[in-house]
Amino acid sequence: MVMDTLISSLKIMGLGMLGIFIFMLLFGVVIYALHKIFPGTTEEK
Amino acid sequence: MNQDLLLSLFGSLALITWKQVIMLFIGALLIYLAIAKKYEPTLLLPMGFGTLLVNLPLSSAIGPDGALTIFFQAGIKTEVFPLLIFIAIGAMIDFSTLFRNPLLLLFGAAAQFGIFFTISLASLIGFDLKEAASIGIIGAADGPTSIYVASKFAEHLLGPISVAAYSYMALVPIIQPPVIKALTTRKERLIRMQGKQDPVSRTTLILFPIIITLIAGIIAPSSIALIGFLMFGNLIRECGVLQKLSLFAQNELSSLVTILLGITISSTMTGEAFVNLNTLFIIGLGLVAFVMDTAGGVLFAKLLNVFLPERMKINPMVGAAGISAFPMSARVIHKIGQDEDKGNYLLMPAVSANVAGQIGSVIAGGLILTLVPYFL
Repeated sequence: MVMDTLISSLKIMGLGMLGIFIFMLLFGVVIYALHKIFPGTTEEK
Repeated sequence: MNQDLLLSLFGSLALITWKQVIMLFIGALLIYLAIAKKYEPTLLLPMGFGTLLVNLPLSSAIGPDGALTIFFQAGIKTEVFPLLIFIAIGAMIDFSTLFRNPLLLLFGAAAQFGIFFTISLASLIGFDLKEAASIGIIGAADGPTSIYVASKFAEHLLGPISVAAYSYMALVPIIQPPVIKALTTRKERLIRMQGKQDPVSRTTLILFPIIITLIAGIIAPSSIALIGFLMFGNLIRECGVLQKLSLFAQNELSSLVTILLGITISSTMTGEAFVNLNTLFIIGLGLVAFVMDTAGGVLFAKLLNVFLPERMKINPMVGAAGISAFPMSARVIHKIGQDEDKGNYLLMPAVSANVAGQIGSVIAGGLILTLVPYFL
């Protein structure tokens, strides 16, 4: 029982960390694209 | 007659159990830590006082008609309180620091490692998967996310999980430095990073929370309430036409809901539910989660440095700021940097990593809510 739960939790670890990195990479792409399409001006800074 | 009157007035004292006495001491300790040590007083003070309320024999604060039980049913079970807090947090976050160095977003992912490591460790100890996930999320270093996930998966553990999450957030300046120093060389700690000052357009800041909500909603629908409310708060901040609401969310809303959240969570901190071995395990596992978060961030920065050119090297300490404890963690990193080299200003990159951690912790919470049911 404990081993089953442990194996499930290890799978969650793998998928979870992969998922967060994918999310962050996507967010990075969004940030990069927004920054390129709508560059800030000195006044806005 | 007088004896009868005394018995009816003070008879409840005879009913007090040793567990309730311990909880009264714990309540007093939380109040002490909140006031004397200033450890997360906005939450620990109401929790401490609530602990006193619910552990007095025959307390009318809990039970079917008890005010705290009613608050719990209305605010925690329905998830209203944590979600309202997310609006407040969203209104407080300034994403523009992240826009200046998007690479640091990755630390908001790496420093969530402690969550998943702790889930596995808790499973090994014997907690079931839902309980283990709720304990692991302490490593989000983000009280509302911990409360949100625990209220969905392991309501009975809400008390110790909340205490551990908020206590360790307050203890970041004590927990992180030794871990960082153990994993880095002095040469690495001396690495200087260039802070960027590019302006960020208002349109970008307005579109960001909307796009992120859409992406998160499409990929992980279970996380949409969590991320959506955070981003809604941020949109109120950045839209530029709701300054009054933005300030209200950052101050009054945040304070009001935190008080309700704290005192309501204490309704789970009865002697029967709290004084047991599980609580000790949870407190211990919470510490492991914070340590492994820090280690995850630092080691990931070291790994990145293997591939980055010399001029772009990252000070590995900045990786440790990828947790959600904002701005405490960024300040800690900056201070360690200054202790090593007075001319090394790490505050700006550390703040960026810290903001990434705020997003990362919520994403981690959302992913756990999505993944765990598949493995049950």
